[in-house]
Amino acid sequence: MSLFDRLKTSLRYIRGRLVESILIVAAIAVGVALVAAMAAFWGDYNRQTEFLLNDPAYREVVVEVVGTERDLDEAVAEYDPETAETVQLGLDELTLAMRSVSAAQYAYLADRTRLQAGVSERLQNAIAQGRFGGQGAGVPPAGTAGALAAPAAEALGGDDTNDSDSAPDAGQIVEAQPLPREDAGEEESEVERGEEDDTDERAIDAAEASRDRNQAASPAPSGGGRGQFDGAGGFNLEQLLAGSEDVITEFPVDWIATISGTEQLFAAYGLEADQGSLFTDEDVEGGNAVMVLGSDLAGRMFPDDDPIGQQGLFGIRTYTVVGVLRPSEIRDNETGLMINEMAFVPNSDAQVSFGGFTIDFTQASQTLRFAVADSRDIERAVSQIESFFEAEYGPGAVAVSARIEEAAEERDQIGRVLVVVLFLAVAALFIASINLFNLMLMRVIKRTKDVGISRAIGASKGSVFRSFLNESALLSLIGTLIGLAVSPLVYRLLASSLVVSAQALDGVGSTSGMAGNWILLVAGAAVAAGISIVFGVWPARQASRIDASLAIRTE
Amino acid sequence: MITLERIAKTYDLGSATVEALVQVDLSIERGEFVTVMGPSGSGKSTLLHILGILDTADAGIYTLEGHDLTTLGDRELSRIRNEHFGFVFQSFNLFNEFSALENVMFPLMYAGMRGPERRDRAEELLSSVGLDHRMGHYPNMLSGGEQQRVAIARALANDPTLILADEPTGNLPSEKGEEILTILESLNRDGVTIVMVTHDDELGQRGSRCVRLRDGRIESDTRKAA
Repeated sequence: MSLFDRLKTSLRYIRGRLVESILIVAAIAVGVALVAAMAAFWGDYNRQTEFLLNDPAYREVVVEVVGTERDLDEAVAEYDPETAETVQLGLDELTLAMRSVSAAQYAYLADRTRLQAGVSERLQNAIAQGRFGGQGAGVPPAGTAGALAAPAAEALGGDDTNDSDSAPDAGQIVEAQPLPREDAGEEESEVERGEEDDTDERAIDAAEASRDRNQAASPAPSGGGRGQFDGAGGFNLEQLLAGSEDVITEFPVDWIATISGTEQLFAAYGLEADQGSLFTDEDVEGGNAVMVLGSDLAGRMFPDDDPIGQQGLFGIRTYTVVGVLRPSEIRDNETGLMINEMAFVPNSDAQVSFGGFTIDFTQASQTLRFAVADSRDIERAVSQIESFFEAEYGPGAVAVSARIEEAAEERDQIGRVLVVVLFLAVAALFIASINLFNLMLMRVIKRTKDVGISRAIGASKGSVFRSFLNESALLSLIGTLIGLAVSPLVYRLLASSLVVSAQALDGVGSTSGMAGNWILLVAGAAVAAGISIVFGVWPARQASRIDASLAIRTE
Repeated sequence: MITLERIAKTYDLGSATVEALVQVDLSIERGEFVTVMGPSGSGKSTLLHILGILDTADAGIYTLEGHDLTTLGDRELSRIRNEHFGFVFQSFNLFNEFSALENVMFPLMYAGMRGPERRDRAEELLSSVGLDHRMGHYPNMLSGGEQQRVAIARALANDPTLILADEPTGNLPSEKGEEILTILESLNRDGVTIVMVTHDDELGQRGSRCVRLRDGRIESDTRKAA
């Protein structure tokens, strides 16, 4: 009896009991889909987590100051919370630390900030309303030509239309604000949605505070609030943009996510210049206002021109673009943004003085970062760094953390969930297989007489065995094919429900991840099919052992 | 053609054992039309099943054309059933899930005949029993007589030398039974050996030889003078 004949015969029997056949096929399909999807997911999970653990973010050790009033420049003995001032971490600390931390290859600052590109409406209004010293009504410096005049006059004139077009050259102060460190993912939306108002508010407050300090130290020559805006020493945006015909004050973007860092940041994150060059520690020390752009950001900001050498007004400072990065796959783990979409500036102290005010740009950097070349060194690096800071500043002065540790924990948690889900998938397949087993056993009993007849007309025991095994295998295979067809859906379902908020699995469950794992998917399905086929062996064996003589006499 | 020597068969029914056949010696020649008679439980069907190697004896020797069958394995025995024997049963025993044509094709399929050839052969067989117009019908759409004719066509599929019929007319009205018997007689005339189990005394006399069984033993074995 040929296989083809056997298949045809099996199909007839399957068709003869269609409903139960469909149900068993469905049960097997579910089992196979779950097992196959789990297998593929498991593969992705492992591959992706391996990949992520080599991601720069997971080779990084972060040292944070505990409390905000601590200055790591001071030795422990002298530390006094009452008198200590703003915390400052800089190149000196890094250099010092690197001497005792051999496991780490890189030490750098990399504070996430956000820079305003151009002028915010709110700040324009604030200036117009005189919150920088002038009384609203008194502000308009009638004779003063330039940037401030137009918008201010406009605002005061009660014309609130505030078309941004009408103030093309108005630059304004924004102090770069550190982005709050939060779990990435949320942070991305934070950047989008923004706390623009809040940032402006703080910027304005900072500017006001600065003015107050300056006033106290050296009262403005012309005296009086409104006077500050008058004359040559007055608050004049033109000054900010002095000699600035080439300075760009309007960009297609309003904000740029920025990393304020030091030289080794690039090496640690594996970033290279595609055009121009990267900034160096000399730029950091010299307080140079230079900027390196991510490839996509560069394209968006300067779609038509060569970005290198362009000058632009960001916040209150004019930065010169010195480099554009080579496109990178890396996503910044703190903001969740692609590195390609970010800008890099030196993390340096800078002050801008104008109109008798000095605005301090200093970012109190509260975070030092170290990076190892190989993530396996990270534990050693963490312990060395801990000892260094403990020796230098006493216990508890800093918190040392490595994202890899959080990631590993997250990974373990998800791993445990995966084991449970895998177990359930196998259980589903097992139950389906047991059902197939029962169904086939029942069919053997029901067809006892048919078996007797087949034997009488020339079927051997082996032939009977193969016929029944064939039938159950056919049910399994149909179920497997259907299961395989729906397994990508199940995979996506699993991925979306398991990967929620798990940054360690970022990218798992994407369709691209799926594409790489079709082999595992098919292998999973094949194993599942094999299991269900095995469950057909026993009933087939029972069928082959039927006593033909007795069977044929049953009615 | 067939020689049975001291064939014994015992059924173990748990509480009791039933001796279906005791020391049966029987020899069947090519071309005979043997009827097997006897009361219920006398071992007629058992004898028929042993002759058709559907069942194996507990003791004794079965020789087919000079070959001792007790040494053969299941595959060879199945092949012999398939190619040399044809079974016809009281209750027809067709596969209800398959059409008349497909039923006839089964033994051909087991013999390894290819599809188109198989179909032609099955059609030819069904025509020979007068069922040209019923080939695609399923057993439950056929009358008893028609079903039995399908069963005979199936038994004849591989040109058997021996037809084993177990009360082939038992479930049929007499005129239909007569049709079946006529077919068997004509086959016998063509040289096919026939062994037929029956209750019916009249039918018992239709063969060339009548074997009577009682309590698993051969009570009488009478040949008609030719």
